[in-house]
Amino acid sequence: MKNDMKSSNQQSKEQALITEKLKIFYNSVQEEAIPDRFIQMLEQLEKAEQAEKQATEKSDQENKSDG
Amino acid sequence: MTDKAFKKELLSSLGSLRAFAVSLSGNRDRADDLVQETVMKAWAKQESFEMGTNMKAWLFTILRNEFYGQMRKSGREVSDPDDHFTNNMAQSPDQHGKLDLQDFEVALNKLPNDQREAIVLVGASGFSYIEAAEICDCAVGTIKSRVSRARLALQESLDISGPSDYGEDVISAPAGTPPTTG
Repeated sequence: MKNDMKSSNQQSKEQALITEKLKIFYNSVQEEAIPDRFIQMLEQLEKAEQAEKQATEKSDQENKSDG
Repeated sequence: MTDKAFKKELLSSLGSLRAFAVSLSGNRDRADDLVQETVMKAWAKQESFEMGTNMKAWLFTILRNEFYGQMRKSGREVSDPDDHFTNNMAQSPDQHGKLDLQDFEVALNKLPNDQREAIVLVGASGFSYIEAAEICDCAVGTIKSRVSRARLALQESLDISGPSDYGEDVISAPAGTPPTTG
């Protein structure tokens, strides 16, 4: 294998470079703006849940007043 | 955990979750679909999230399961580096060092899925070997060996298309060309 012929010093330098490149790549994606659709989706999910809660509370109250 | 706190923590993990999705799928459109599915699923089962545990790890696990679930359904075992490459070409082409980064992305996508996820989780997402093993549902030793195999493979792969040979390179003659001896 090609890597066997390299000194361990050279090896670890190359490994460090790989890790650095990986981080640069990952961070570049991570720092891209979050698509609006995710923010909107979360807001919709939150609204839907709130509406559901209110509906449940309302029906609870109605049930109470019925009984 | 209140809805607001849950949402806030989910939002703060989205960037990293998306970077993991891009690394896994090698395709931004597909990655965004994966993130969307993950957010929906996480929201639907937020009660199963244990407060005080690592939400990022929880989200990564959901996304990873979604990725492999989709792959099983479509029967697509291997990611397609060319598909991935063209899909990412549109991103800020003038940025300095972009070509180098694209080379890296292509090399990363040539790795087998298990090696790629291991090196990304440990080397870039900031997880420990133990956390990565939990996310991938395997032994810590398995993650360690996958990471080292991934490192070696990337090293090999990037050596061939190193930053110095942008032009025609003499060494890699087109496949099928007989060596010009004699």
